Amino acid sequence: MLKEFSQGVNQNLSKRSSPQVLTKKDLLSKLSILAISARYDNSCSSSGARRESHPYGLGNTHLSGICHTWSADGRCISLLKILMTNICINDCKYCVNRIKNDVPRAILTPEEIAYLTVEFYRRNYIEGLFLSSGIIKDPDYTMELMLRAVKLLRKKYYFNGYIHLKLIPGASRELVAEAFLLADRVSSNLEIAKEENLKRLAPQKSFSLLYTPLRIVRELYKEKNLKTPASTQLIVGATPETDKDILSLAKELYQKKLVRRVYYSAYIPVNEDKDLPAINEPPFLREHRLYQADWLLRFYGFSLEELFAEEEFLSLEMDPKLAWSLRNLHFFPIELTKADYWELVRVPGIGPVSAKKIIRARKEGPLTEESLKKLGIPLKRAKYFITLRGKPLFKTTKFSEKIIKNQLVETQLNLFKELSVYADCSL
Amino acid sequence: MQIVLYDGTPFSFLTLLYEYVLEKREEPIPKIYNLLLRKERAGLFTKEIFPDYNKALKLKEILRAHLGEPFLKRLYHFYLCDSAFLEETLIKGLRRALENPEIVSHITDEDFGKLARAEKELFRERHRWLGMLRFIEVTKGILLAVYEPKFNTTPLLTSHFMKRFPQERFVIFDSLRKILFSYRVFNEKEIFLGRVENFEFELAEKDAFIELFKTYFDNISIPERKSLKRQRQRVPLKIRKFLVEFW
Repeated sequence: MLKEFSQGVNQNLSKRSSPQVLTKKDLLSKLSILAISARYDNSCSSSGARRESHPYGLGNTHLSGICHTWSADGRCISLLKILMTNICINDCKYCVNRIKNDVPRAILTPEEIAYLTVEFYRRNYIEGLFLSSGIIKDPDYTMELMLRAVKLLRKKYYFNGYIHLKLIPGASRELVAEAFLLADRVSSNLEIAKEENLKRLAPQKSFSLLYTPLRIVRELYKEKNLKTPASTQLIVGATPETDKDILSLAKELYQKKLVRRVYYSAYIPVNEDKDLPAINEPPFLREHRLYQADWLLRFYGFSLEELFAEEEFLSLEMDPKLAWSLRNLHFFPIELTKADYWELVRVPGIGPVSAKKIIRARKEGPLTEESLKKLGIPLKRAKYFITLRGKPLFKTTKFSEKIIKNQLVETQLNLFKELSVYADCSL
Repeated sequence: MQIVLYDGTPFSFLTLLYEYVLEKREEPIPKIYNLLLRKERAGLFTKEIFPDYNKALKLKEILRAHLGEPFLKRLYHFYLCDSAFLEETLIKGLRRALENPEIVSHITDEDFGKLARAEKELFRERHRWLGMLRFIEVTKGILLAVYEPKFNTTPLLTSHFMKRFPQERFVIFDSLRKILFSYRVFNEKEIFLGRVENFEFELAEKDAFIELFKTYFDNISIPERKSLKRQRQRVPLKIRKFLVEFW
């Protein structure tokens, strides 16, 4: 059938032409260098934007975001995440692209970036572009080049797909404002939760430098009472900050509506330096616990103080909600037929989806253990903390921290290990 | 037990429901096979349902009057969940719903709970393919995507891709059900969605962007975080043949 297609399509259908500078071999090697340089940035979300397609253009956004594939590390690929260049004048000790490193360097022209994005996008490989960059010459020059790529996309190709643009610290207010106008999300990574540690590892950076782009976009967004469509990233384990330090900073950022998301990135040693810690394994489990705690702060109505007892670190052996539950057994058991939404989401194993299902099912008829199972409510953890019409679902006369811990902690750790890097170390 | 066969088209689906929900509502529900997914021959113990437009339209009217317009949309979704084989559950549920209409929205109801879960899975499947459908440029400017979804998701994908690629010319082909959607392939106004028995195409030349995307895909993964198990959970092996990055 498609044999006929080609006969009917003699005209040049595509208005796009590849940039003159580009050969396939060049592009392959540049893409590989600049993807490797960009991969340590954890952000890849394409959600939260509403942008309709242009009638003569290409692309739109999907409010909940779309994952297009998952790479070998199990992380979602939604955007074409690349650096414009990995050439950088900075010497951040944790960064693979630091000036002192002898690594292959490359630069993509704005035309090449736009061309690659459009061609990947129309094949449905990606949801849009995540463009970051090392600093070449100076921040304004770098930001201008990045903006040129984005302007080509938006103005020449009428590309209305998702664009996440890294704001270069030190770039002028006008350029930051222009970036914010063109992109669906912007970001500036604060990297380290305490300034004295940041200065030790990244001598050219300071909190005021890294905060400024986020503050500028907050000002531009001030008429809206929503969190700015911006994000930031904090490295976990490169410096001695506690989990409480890290989450305090995150909470402050959320409260001031400076960002919508804080990403946590387990420190992976890519350089050797006396100021960097010697570690056997990156703290992936700690990173995982921070994400769980971040979710509790944002969606479950927990306060920061509730997540920590006397220690300033989250428990590694169990998730922060289970840890809180075991410290607060007086709060339980929760009666499923009466509890409100905010009480239900405090039960380990019950999240917003299950809580909503329980509330809806209660209106339809009597709740039974069978109906809970049919609704897909996971009772494995929850059964220790709930009652159904006064009857516990956990058949025991004793209800203590020790019993629950014995039953659940090992399962949680095994699950994480099974799914995490450890599972494939031997491959 | 009697076996009833139908050809998997919307009209025969509605005719089937009409017969067993309204005409033979006192009879036991037979085993029902959808011929679109199962090669079954008519025999001594089988009965074939042929599409009857009057019956189909009449059923729609009755359901609209008793269960409301939004239910008809859901009925279409149940139809699209073809490989979940919901026909018997649906007949059983509809027989009860005509007596007691409010059960259609109950997630705890034995039949409508099952139907609601299947409907949700249909939308999960749709969402998966919104991201995982891969277009290959088969000849200058024409994009082709071939896939085999678990459910009949093609009709639910069309509006997304038409909005997203208003100027492109593309074809989406469900090779399991032989359902094809084409957009602006022969001319600017053409939109086609339907079954095709024979569909052939030839590649003008290898799409150069496949290699570029594979290079990107391989390099964006962090070696220290390697977790093939996590990747397998998200990208099951059976769908990888449709994803260029795994070729």
